[in-house]
Amino acid sequence: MSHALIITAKPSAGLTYTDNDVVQVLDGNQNPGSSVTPPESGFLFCYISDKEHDDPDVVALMEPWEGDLIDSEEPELGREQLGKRRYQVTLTGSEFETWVAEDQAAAAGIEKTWAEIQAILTDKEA
Amino acid sequence: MTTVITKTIGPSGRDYANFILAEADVESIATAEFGSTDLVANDGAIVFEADAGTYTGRVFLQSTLTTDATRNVTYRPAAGSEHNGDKSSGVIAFSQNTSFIVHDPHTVLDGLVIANTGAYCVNTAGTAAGAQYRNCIFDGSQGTTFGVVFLTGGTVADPLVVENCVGYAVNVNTFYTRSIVDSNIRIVNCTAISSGTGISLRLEGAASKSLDVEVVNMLSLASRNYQGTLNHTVTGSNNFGGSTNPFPAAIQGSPYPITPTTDTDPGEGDFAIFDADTGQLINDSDNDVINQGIGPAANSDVPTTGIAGGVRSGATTHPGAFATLKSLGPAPIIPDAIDYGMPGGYSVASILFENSTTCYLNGVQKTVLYPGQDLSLPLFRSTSADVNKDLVIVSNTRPNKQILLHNYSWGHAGLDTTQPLYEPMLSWFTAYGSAVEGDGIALTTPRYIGDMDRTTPLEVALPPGKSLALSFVSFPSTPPNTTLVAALTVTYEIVDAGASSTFTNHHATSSGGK
Repeated sequence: MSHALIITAKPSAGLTYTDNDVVQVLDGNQNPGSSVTPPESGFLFCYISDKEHDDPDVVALMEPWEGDLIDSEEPELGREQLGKRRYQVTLTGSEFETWVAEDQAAAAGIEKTWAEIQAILTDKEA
Repeated sequence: MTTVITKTIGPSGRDYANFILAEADVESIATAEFGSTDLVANDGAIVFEADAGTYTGRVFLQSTLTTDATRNVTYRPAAGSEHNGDKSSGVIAFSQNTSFIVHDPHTVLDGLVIANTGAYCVNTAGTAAGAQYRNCIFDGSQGTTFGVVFLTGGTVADPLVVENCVGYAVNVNTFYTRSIVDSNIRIVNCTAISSGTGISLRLEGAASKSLDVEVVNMLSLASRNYQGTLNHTVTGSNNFGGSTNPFPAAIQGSPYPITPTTDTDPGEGDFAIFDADTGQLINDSDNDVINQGIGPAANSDVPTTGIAGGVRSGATTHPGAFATLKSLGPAPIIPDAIDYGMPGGYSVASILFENSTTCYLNGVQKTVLYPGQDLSLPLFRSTSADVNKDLVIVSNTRPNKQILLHNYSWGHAGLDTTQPLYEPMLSWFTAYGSAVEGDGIALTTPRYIGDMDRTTPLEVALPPGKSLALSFVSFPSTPPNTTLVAALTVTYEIVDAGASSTFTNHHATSSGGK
């Protein structure tokens, strides 16, 4: 059984997302890609030890940020959205800069419980 | 010259696992490769090539890159990962709620299958002037809300462009244009396949905004075809659809209206006969829209290739996304398109048996002709008698055309030359039952296929409905693991056969030996 891998936007890394936005949630078995994984990449990585990647709580981390939509008569049509994600997870420490496979995550120190993730979670719409 | 940086997307061993991660990195790619996010000033472009597969999740294409029509970001399939017109193949991007939201100007989506079950396959924000969607399949067949492809924005200089695309819709608008901002949109050679109350092309204007849409060679395979409301302007030509909610008369093709059908024997009337799986038009004498579109020689906005390859040329072409027709007969190996751009004025068809799934042997589809594979068993070789078989390599399934075969060559294309080859065996060309390439080939000592490279003139005319076969005789002494022709190139020309020619399906059969 694999757990969720969350990938966040490393602060000041030049990604198109807001710093610390949860860019992507992947199945822990999945390699995010060779350009993503070097330590100089713009992403941070953390496994959630007690959640699957398709757990609704985890999937919700990729919700778009609705707070800065320009209103229109039909909100689905042509709206401008300035932010990317509603939720940010602030991962502190250089260990999160390097992706490792799931079976090495605990040893590498890039594994957290859902409760620990919630403690560093920011909801832009809260 | 623009420097193009290519990055890969795929589930294993690629730069990015999916589109979301790739898009997130475009600014850092630009900065690392070109020095800043200004692709125009740095004369750079970024191309993402994705492996075939399904990629889930909504993708925001929204960055601070500075782009123009050629210095931009393109998302397309890697070589070999194309959809070839099939919405269940290739690179499939899926999200339950809007698969791509395109904010970035000049974004290019090329050759993707974009599927959705919520609101829109693609939602184009008003900021995305110059965005281009080419050769894409927008699959809203599982039910979207609002529409399948939403388009607002674009300028006179940088219109939104949708070309060679197929859209599937159920009860919603397939190509939905709306002037949330002033909009200039061009839709060329697209096919809308819709059921229920959906409209193939909707122009929804607003009193205070402009909405200028050019639509050319659209093929509407739907019960409702066009609707324009409030302030809008539509221009273009050669669009085909039915009589309910018809295209405006000024932009209709001829004949109009047509009835979309998958029935190849539809009876009296004007029909667009299409393949139910892809929307590709079928080569059938009852198909009234064949070559009724305007071609690239008469309208430079018409793309010179189609969604699944093939070439458009000349003053006319087929409406819709496909440049070629689907043939119901055997062995549609020669492309439909007429390309007189080759030296000598001919086209060249490279027929690689190793890639062929449409080789026919005595009218039955075979897949045995793989290099290095046992050709003689079980089809060919008898231990007690000579066996003669014809491989149909070309069938002229084009009514009113004939194919002039000028010459040919063949080669081994990397065969395992340690294997026994064709000796003793005979081979020659047969056109509709008569041997036409004079001497056959009979060797007394084994030779490698590469030794058979040749350009013996054929100069054979294939009337409509007739076929060219590569014929073989095997003998009881033919080795059981014989390998044969690996690649065959035929130089040909397609010409009018005259109004009196008729089309009848034809399968070559055994010619009885040399």
